[in-house]
Amino acid sequence: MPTARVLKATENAYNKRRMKLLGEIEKLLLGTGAADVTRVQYTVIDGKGGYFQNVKRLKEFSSERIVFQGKSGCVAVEGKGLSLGKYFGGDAAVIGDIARVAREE
Amino acid sequence: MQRSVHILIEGLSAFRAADKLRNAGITVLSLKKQQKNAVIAEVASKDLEKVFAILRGSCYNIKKIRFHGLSKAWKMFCLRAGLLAGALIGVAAVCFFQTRVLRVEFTGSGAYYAGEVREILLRGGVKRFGPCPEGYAAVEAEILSLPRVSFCSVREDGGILTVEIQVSDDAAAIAGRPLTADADGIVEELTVIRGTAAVSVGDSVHAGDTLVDSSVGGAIVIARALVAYPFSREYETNEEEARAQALLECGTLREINAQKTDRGWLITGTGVSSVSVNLD
Repeated sequence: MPTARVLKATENAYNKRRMKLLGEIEKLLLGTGAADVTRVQYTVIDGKGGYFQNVKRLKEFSSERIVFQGKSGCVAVEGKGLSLGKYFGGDAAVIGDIARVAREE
Repeated sequence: MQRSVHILIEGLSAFRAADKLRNAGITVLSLKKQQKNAVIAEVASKDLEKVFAILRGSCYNIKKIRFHGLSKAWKMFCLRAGLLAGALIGVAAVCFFQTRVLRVEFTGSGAYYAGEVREILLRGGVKRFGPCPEGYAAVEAEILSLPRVSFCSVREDGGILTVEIQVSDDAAAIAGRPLTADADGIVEELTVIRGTAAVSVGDSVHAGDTLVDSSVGGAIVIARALVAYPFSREYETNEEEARAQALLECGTLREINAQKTDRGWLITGTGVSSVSVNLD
């Protein structure tokens, strides 16, 4: 049975590799390597909700559809039982069963 | 966990109030659609005044929501789940250990019987952290059978078992000496409650010999012995008085035989001497 110290070391190594991979993906997608604050960025967990960054304002809000507006473009979130979790700064958490995330003009 | 409040915001596009709050630096903890033109927003309690100040001049109707009944209870439970869980565990632990024997205490003039009583309790199924028995009648009866015990009670209260033992002759000091023979003869009977027997039934002993000694640790001796010895004495009187005097001297005299002599009567027989320490 691995000890707590071994498990912690394994977890830290995994996190480092994960962060490095995300950084490389960002560089690949964005080109400059710097975070693009004009576009809404999001992470979605299937069946649980999602986390949205660089949100300028709420354009639409209901339990089936939420639309976030960024500096350039909008992102529509559709699903069931949607509500906002924490909404502060440019970040918003959506709680509910997200079925679809689509770009809107 | 910070305390929060829920606010009902009514008006056209009520959800836009969340943007106003966010722009003012207030964190909206949650936002749910209540009905067509109303949303319920959750903010920190400390921000409540600021929220009302920000939305006062706007086109929204705002009011604080208080939960009632089960909703309120559920909300309080969620906020203090750890505390409630700890309280429940504590209550459960107290209720459980009320049914267990945590400690045994001995009181009364017979408290020196603690060792013997512990063994009696063990035989009766009473042990530390074990369940409390339904009744103690059998245990009390066994304790009462101990020498000199005149009163005994066993009470259980809050996990503490208190055994009170009173002995009949508590004015007399406990003799801390071994049991010795007071005549030359043969040991007929030996009863040892506490102590180590130095002789066996049938052994020949002399006056002053140790019959029962204290065991390791210097504990007191509780024992009794009967020693049979040959008796022979001549009395210068008639036969009836000679027999009476012999009985007075011996206490117990078996196989009495009287023989006429020149001076009076010779009484012979087997005397029985009873010696005891701390045992009636």
